[in-house]
Amino acid sequence: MLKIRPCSNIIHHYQLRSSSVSINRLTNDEISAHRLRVYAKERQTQMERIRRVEKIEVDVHDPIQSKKLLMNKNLSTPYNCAQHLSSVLVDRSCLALIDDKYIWDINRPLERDCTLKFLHFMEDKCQEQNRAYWRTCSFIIGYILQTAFKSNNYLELCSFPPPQFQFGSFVYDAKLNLGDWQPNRDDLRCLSIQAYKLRDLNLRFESLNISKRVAEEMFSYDRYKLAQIPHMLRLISPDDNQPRLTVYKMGDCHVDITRGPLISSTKQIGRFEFSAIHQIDVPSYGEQMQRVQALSIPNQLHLHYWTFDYLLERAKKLNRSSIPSLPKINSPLSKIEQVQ
Amino acid sequence: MNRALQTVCTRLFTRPLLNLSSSSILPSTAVGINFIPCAWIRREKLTDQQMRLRYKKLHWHKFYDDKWVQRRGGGWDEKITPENVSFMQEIVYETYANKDSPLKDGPWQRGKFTIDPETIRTGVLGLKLGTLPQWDKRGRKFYVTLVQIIDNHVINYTPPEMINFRTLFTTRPLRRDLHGKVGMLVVGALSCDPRKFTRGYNGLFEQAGVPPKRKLTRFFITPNSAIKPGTPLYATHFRCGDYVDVQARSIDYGFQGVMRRYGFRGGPSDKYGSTKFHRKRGTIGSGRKHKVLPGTRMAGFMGNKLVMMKGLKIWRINTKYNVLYLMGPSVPGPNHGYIRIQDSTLYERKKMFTETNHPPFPTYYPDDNKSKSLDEELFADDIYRFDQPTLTLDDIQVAPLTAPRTAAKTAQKKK
Repeated sequence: MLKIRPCSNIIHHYQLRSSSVSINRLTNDEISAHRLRVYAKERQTQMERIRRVEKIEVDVHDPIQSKKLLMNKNLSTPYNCAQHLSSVLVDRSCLALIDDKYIWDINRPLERDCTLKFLHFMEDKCQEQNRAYWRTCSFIIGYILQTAFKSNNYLELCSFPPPQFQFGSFVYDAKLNLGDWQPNRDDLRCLSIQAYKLRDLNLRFESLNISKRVAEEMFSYDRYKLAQIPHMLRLISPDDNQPRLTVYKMGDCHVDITRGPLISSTKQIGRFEFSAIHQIDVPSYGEQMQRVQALSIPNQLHLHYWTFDYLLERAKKLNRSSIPSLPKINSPLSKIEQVQ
Repeated sequence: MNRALQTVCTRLFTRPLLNLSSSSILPSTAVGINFIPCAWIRREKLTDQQMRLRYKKLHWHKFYDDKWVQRRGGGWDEKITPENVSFMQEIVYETYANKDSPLKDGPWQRGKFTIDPETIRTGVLGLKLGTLPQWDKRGRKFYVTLVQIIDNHVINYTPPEMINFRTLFTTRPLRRDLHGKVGMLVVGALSCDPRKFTRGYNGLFEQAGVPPKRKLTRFFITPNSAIKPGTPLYATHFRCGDYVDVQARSIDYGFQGVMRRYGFRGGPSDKYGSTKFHRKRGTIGSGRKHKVLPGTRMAGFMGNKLVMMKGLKIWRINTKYNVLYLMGPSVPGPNHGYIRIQDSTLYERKKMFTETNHPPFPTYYPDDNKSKSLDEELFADDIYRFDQPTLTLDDIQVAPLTAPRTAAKTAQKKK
């Protein structure tokens, strides 16, 4: 009983919240536009907090060139550092390594003096880059689901699990509200073509740390995201007054909650093919959702089509990574009840 | 219409007058009447040299058609780990290991071999290996060329109605009486990894369920000898003692002078004091005519053109490696070059086929005689076999050179 109650509180909480804001027949485009507006406003307020421009010294270690650069604090990104060095670094690097310890987004502003290394996909140890790449691709599936369907379909995005390579594909869970629609080969191909269009648009990924209040305003139309926000906040920093939630924006098109770093830009996508859509049961939210699976490879890795087709056959099987769940919250209320 | 009259009139670019009988019409009277240009119908084929003269190109041969699908793809360094490389190799073997044909319907009906409407069987694609000596039963030595029928499968069959004759027979014409009556089989040789080709080329083999081949050819056949795509073709498609026509591209000698190309005698060596005339052509003109005649034989590119040799006998077949032993050392092409092999079209050899005595029709299927398996080597009747005993003299009476001396004769001598 104790387990169920906090969960039901949350559901009741966000159902009330959502009914106060009318979601009657709002299209997906309007919802994304709302999210982008909130993001832009929050970004602007954060930029205004920077009163004066301070300089930091960044030491770039690269096998081709090593240089010491003077960059702006909280303004310049590792991408800007790469632009100072060479276009090869700009095109191929997807993540940055700060002080040989921290993995950093390429488009995230630097905060202090540090040593910088650029990571790309064709290195010997590229576990982190691969994980970031699949995380980005899951993010992109979310965007495609929002924009690819007709505007009279109301679609609710839920979340995506962390990338795991042994299951052969990356995944996005969403409620498609399409009944028993099973996509055939041509439908999947049309969805994949949307991803290839993104590659030509060359959209960059930017991150933003936002507080709980702003997050709830941004995702006021997404009931699943609203339910997740308290859990995401608790994962990052427990019991803080102003917890910070990371939110990523792709170009000017899509905003979503993700924890980990994403790659530099959509130009680095190579092949991207949607493989299957499976039905899954999600007991935490009490509904049945669809799991959209896809397979992708970065542009630097140039695979023959036959090998990729073989991997795609594998990716069509149901991906067994974790189903979206709302874990137990240790709220003070429940502790008192336990004691009692 | 009188054939002579027809050719005369076409030469003059006039329409032959139909109401006149086959009496003589003098050329001079026909000029000026009924000048209607009609198509110039060439009877004989132009040689490569004449084609080059017309179109002023040194290299006349084109090895592929622009309408064909791009064949080669892949081959770049994909930078995959060695374990993944060996894994993908295993996957490639597994996909084509024991693949039954993916087509839903069963085997096609086999046609019957007919003489009256003539039957043309498929040919086979082989690889020239080299030459070996063989001996016949009279002890005479001759050379044979070994040709291996590597991994042959039928890829595709188009029935006669679907064939567009105008586009297909521009360079090498088909017999007039066969127009509209022949279907086309595409046969492929030498299976290969699909990662060496493009997607379009691999798609040609999906229907047949066969790994992609390195070389494809067309064979024009009568509809009763149609074979289902995906069936393999073996060396036993022919029998020992049959005669075949062989077609291949001859050895490329490159740009050669007149002595090697046409067998001119050239000039004397320096010993006899000849200045600058050792391997030359000599004169190119002819007295009064102030031009070089078209067709004058000079230096140029030699070889690398399609050559057909007719009536080669098959002396021996190796069924384990699918090798044919063909008569003669001069099968066109270098070693490891592709060769098209078909039943001979020579009149005497075609006469040898009857309703009862003909090679396996439409092709040799190994499932037909599962009870008795084939020997590894099949020999023609005339060839000398080293593994069998030579002439034995048990039944033969050898007559002595001189008559034996009787007792009466010795007595007479003594006297």
